Amino acid sequence: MLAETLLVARKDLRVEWRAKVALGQVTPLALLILVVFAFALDANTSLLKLGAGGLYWVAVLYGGTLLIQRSFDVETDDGNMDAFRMSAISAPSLFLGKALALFVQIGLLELVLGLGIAFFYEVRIVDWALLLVAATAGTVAFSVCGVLWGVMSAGLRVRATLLPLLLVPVLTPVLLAGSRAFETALGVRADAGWTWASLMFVIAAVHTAIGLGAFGFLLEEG
Amino acid sequence: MTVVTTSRVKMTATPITRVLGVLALAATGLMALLGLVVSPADVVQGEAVRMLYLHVPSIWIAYGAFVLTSVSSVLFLRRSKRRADRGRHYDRLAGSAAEVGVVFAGITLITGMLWGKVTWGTYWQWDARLTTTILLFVTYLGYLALRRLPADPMVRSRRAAVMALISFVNVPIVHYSVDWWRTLHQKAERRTETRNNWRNVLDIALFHGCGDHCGCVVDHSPVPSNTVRRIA
Repeated sequence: MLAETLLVARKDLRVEWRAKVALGQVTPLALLILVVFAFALDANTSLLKLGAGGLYWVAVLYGGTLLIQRSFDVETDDGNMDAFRMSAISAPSLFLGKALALFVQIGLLELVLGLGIAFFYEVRIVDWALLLVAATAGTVAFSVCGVLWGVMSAGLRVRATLLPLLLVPVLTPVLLAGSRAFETALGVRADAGWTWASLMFVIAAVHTAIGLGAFGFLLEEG
Repeated sequence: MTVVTTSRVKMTATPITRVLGVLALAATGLMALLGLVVSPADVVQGEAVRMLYLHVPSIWIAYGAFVLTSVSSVLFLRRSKRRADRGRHYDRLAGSAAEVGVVFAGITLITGMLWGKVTWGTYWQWDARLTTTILLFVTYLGYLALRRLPADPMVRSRRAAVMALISFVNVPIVHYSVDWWRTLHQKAERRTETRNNWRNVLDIALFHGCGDHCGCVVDHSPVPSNTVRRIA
């Protein structure tokens, strides 16, 4: 199972490395959103520092949704879903492999956005451990939720609008928990940052369990 | 010359559904009469309390509908796995139940906002109960959107069934949000004392389990000291 998972993840990452859509288009666009937020808040540095955690995760949500969309567009445009169904790769391995590839891509996006808020919003990190754990938990949650909901809208004509409609309500608790944990890590709020980070792991665990059980149904065609 | 053709519309009702419909209409009328006319205004909340007679049962109907959606979806997935043409009626039942659930979740949100304007002074507060309820509402709207997409019916039904199962995770989160987070919305509580007046009929019929959702215990007693116990 591990070999199959790594095989699928390597395939996705290789496709992405060759196309360079994540690096060349999605990441600059997400950075641009951070800049636009600054314009919207009248470049008020103290306000931006206060809201940096929330603005960061909104940018991740936007960029992450595009990456998830692309991850399944690549499969459906060339009929790869049929190839998956006919291959010997099990549905759980496929689920985990695609989630792993998305984890790497969203992780890189978060790294760039992290540098972005440090540079543009002049934030100061007071708890590195919490920041890293919360970022990891959020990335895992985004990846597994993304694969689960991405396959649900894959191959449909209206997937571009359907995916955000399905994904955003599910990811809102992750966004909320990530924002709170980041605010604690950035010293903006004295709150239970670790509890919020744990909540993100719980959300990720629930969706992983559902994904492992249900991905086979979602891959099957009538 | 215009030819007018008439065709007989096929009715889908059965004698049982007709009787149920009449009973439902009569019960709705009776509850409206009790809630709007017979029952006096609350000592603290005044006339605004009547909003809760609709608000609380609505969310319970929505919860029930979403439970039915999930159970039907599981049965559909199990049946259709054996044979693709089996279990279609469970899929239709899941879709119908979700439609009812969305309507009643919407009624809950609207009546809650109106009640909030009178009681809290604002239509909307970003507290855990309100936020999770609107997320539940939007999630099931997404479910209904998925069911209406132009796609192979079996593919669409399977995806919708899995989505119904995932969406149901939100229901306990909405229900227990008042316990898990500090909220403006009242905490869950059940009334334990017994009373022997006719108003218990209203409380039982409309607030059965209400304490769980609204947490607002209404008392129409004229004694002010034992009026409304709002649990902050």
